[in-house]
Amino acid sequence: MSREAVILFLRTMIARAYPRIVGQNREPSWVLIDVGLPLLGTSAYVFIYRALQAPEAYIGFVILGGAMTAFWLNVLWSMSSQLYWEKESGNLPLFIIAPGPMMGILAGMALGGMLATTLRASVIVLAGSLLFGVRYAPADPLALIGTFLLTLLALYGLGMLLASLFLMWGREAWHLSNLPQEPIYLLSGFYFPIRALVFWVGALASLIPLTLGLDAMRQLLFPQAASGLFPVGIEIAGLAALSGIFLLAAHRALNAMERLARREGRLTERRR
Amino acid sequence: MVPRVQHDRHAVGAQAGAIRRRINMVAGGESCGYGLLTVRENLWMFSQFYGLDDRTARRRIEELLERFGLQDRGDSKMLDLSTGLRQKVNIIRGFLTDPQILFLDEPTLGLDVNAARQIRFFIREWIRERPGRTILLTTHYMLEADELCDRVAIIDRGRILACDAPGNLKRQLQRDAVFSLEIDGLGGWFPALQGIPGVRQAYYRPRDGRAEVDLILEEEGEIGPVISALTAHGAHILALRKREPTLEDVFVRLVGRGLSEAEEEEPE
Repeated sequence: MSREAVILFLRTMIARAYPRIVGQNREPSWVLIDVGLPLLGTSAYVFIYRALQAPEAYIGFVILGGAMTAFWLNVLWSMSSQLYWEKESGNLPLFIIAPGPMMGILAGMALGGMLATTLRASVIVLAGSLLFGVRYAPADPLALIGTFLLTLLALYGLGMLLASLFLMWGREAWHLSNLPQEPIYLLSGFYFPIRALVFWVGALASLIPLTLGLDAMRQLLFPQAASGLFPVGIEIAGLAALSGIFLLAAHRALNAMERLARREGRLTERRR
Repeated sequence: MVPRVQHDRHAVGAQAGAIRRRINMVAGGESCGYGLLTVRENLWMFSQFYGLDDRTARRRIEELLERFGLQDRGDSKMLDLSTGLRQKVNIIRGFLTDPQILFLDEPTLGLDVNAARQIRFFIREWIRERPGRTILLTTHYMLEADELCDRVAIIDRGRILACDAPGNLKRQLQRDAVFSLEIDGLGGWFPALQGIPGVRQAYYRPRDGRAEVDLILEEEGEIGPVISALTAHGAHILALRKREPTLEDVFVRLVGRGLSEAEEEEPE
């Protein structure tokens, strides 16, 4: 990759990240929709655990799960189906005709989504922790930050892959986004330790980056209470592998989309 | 409009990046970017996809905003703009990257007369200042094609029926006589026109309970039998005038039907 190509990639990425970071925060409704509502859902689980007299660390598990829900929803609704919406709004042809690489566009969407959602997730963690008096005892803050970043990389890599696939297959991206929303809540253990699932179900669910990421972060944040599905080291290695696989697959899917567009003069399925 | 100069040769498949740097596209009736961003922010974002450095991008944005009289709307959010203003911003986006080849697809679609005129004026000026550039304009407005294009290709159902300078195309009808008629009431008389010898092409548009008829005749003298046939069929002629052939007449002559009919028949 030449220096010029790297600069173009970075400019494309930053420019596409911009609307996510700046534009989204111009709608103050995000405080209610992206923070208030998830916090309500999370609170329900907190009260259930309290009623069952579960260990206090479970409250922390739930708060963390609630915060990570924001990332999952962002990946599902603002990454996976985004190219479809861009097509509907007329932006997609402008992205494609521009020399800036589509991977740069996707990376920008991911970067912007990560930064904007980190703000929301932080508010959820902060508010939830203050409301319910959660205490954290991170054993290795550096590993925790690394795991968090790796989780985001793998998760948004998955989002980039889904964005390309949804565009190629998606007659109605809305339905495609709706379909995995709830099952992932269950399979990733948003509101309970993943170890509570049958081991093989948990192991299969580890193909979803959130499963490994949440489990590893819980182990790092609550070392006394959390017994993970796998040791943290293995989960970190798994996340790194998933990041590479998803990013490579996203790149390939974009190339496939471009080949399809050139061959058949269409960007989506034939019926569109 | 077809290319007026020979551009650098690049293979579309192998050198897509090099080609993308040289082209841009504006489709009429569409806006661009994101409603929550301001006009300047949206334009800046698209400039970055072309690798423009920040200073150049911002300079060109200001220049173009000024030329379109939009400096005071630069900090407005896109969602606060009218359709016409959004379309102007879309046009600015297309010219912002100073492309070698620009594809304009119905750039004045849905715009009011003043906005359309301003855009046509800008396009003419832009081409005049940059004689090496090419604009490929797709339009159903024949007046627009006549005003802006050096060469016009008339395409029907994917086939190029003619490709030449507008003047040359119109000269094809120079030996014909072209008349416009306004007739009170619609209808029943129209089939009678088509059977009259010397009538090359007849086309009518209904408007406000009246019919506007365009006639292309082999020679001027054929208008007599036409008027007789019309009055015999109960048509009340309100106005009749002979006029110079237009590109629309060329289109009707070549395609065999009017523009509005051709638009209706076009696949989605």
